[in-house]
Amino acid sequence: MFIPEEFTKAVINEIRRLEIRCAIAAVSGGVDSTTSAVITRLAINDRLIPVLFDTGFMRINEPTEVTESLRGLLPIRLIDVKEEFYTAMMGLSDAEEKRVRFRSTFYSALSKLVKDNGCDWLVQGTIAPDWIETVGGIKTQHNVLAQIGIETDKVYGFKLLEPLKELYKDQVRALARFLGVPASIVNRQPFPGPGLSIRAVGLLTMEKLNVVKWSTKIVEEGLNNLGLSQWFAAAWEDERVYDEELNKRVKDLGRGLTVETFKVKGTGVKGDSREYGRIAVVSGELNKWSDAFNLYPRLTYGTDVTHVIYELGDGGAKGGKFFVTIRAVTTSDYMTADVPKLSRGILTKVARELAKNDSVSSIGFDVTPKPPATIEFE
Amino acid sequence: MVTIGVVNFGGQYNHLIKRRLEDMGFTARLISSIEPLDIITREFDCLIVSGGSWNIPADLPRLGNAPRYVLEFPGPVLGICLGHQLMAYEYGGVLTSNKPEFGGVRVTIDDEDTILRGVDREFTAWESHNVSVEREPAGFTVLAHSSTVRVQAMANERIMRYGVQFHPEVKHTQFGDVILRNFAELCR
Repeated sequence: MFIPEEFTKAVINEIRRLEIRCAIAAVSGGVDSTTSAVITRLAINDRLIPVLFDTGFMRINEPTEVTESLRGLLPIRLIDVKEEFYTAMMGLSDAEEKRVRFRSTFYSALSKLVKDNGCDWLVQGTIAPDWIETVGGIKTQHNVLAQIGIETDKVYGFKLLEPLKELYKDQVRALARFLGVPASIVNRQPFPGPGLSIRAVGLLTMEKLNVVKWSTKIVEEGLNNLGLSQWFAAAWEDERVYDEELNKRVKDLGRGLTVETFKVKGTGVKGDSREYGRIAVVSGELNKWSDAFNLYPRLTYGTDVTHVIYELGDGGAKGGKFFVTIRAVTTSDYMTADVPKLSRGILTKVARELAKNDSVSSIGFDVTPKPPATIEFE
Repeated sequence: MVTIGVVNFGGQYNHLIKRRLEDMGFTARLISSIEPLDIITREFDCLIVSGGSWNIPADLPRLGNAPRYVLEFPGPVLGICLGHQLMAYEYGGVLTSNKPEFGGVRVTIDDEDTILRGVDREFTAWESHNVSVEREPAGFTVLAHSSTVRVQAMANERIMRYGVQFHPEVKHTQFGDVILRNFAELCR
């Protein structure tokens, strides 16, 4: 049984046994990285330097809001590295390439920071699902190094401290509450390391990134207070191909349903293996709304389809080039995730808001649990 | 103290099994299938053989001593997903690779036996598999089925062998904790 007080004592003792000149803590404002910085600070006080990188892939105003909300608990240094990240990542298309490039840019920047400050350790908020997914080859989490055999002191010049690496999200949240981390951080929905770069699905451009930033705000506000674990937007080019075989699979669920697949691909996990497969979109009238949630077994069993999107319609959009998908899931540990049975009404309302952006062509709702999808698209 | 060995084939949920058992107050350790059977027998009261991305029988050479654990370990053994398929195969059952299931699936109990005691007759279980058990081995009873897969759970009570195709260790499986506890109680 996980007891925050005992865990805290044990971790503080363990950290104090290490020889640490000083340590940099990479904080994103998420509960994992914040909590690992807070618990390490209890052990080594001011020898911990917490920093927050503004990568340019965070949500609107997020870097300053996070720094502000942690004032008093962690004296965070906000560091602008937008140019470095944009230069490294714009123009990439492949999901894994984006994740791997993000990781190398992230650690090069951190490595420099560690050296400049004369430190010898890096603290980060790796938790169990991060290394399980990376080691298992599902996707590269940006904060997993040691577990895949990267010797950080040789490559980057720091040793790695990961006080939460055996914990799951719900345990981290219990620990964070015990340590007095503000509720806004404890309950904040998880945010992927590479940020919005992997929600601008496929080719990464400034234009697409801006659509994602704007859409994220609309979806977060529109689906707030519904008891969801994670809810956000993703965008990609609205370029589709009709698929005869997939159409046959859903015929009986509505009148004149059409199944197409997008040109971009999405990440899934099937039978413990990563699948980087097609994203299917179903349009047309369903017999009943609840059938939206019965589409995914038809289209993902025995195919390479990883995500199934039900098209909510263009909501009056003016024919832009990006398809925007609303993603929402419920889960406690993020190892599996279910799709909440949101009403069509509430989704349509959000879709109408999203349609106000001239770059948007149409809007859909992802109806795929994890597995066979992952929560994110890349 | 009861110590449960969790044979780790690198599946996503293996570490989660250890966590669930520890939450219930049991001691659990992840073990590699290269460990010799006699050491496993000495150190553990029972075994859980869980999931991974490998297919049976094609990937059998990669499973180390796991087939021997399943056949020869003296205490109770629970197979989950890949472990369930391995158990079926080693005792002479038949597997198929064209009945995949992912995400939430309705499972109906045919015979509750030991491990499904206290579970509703119909419940939602979380699945992630391509291979499944088409026909149970001789001596085994089918405990549950879904609309796609006939052998969702099976048992041979006499030799203390149990298998489930779904993942009781994930939160989204209803009664998952009950099923794991039912098995863990057999280890005392």
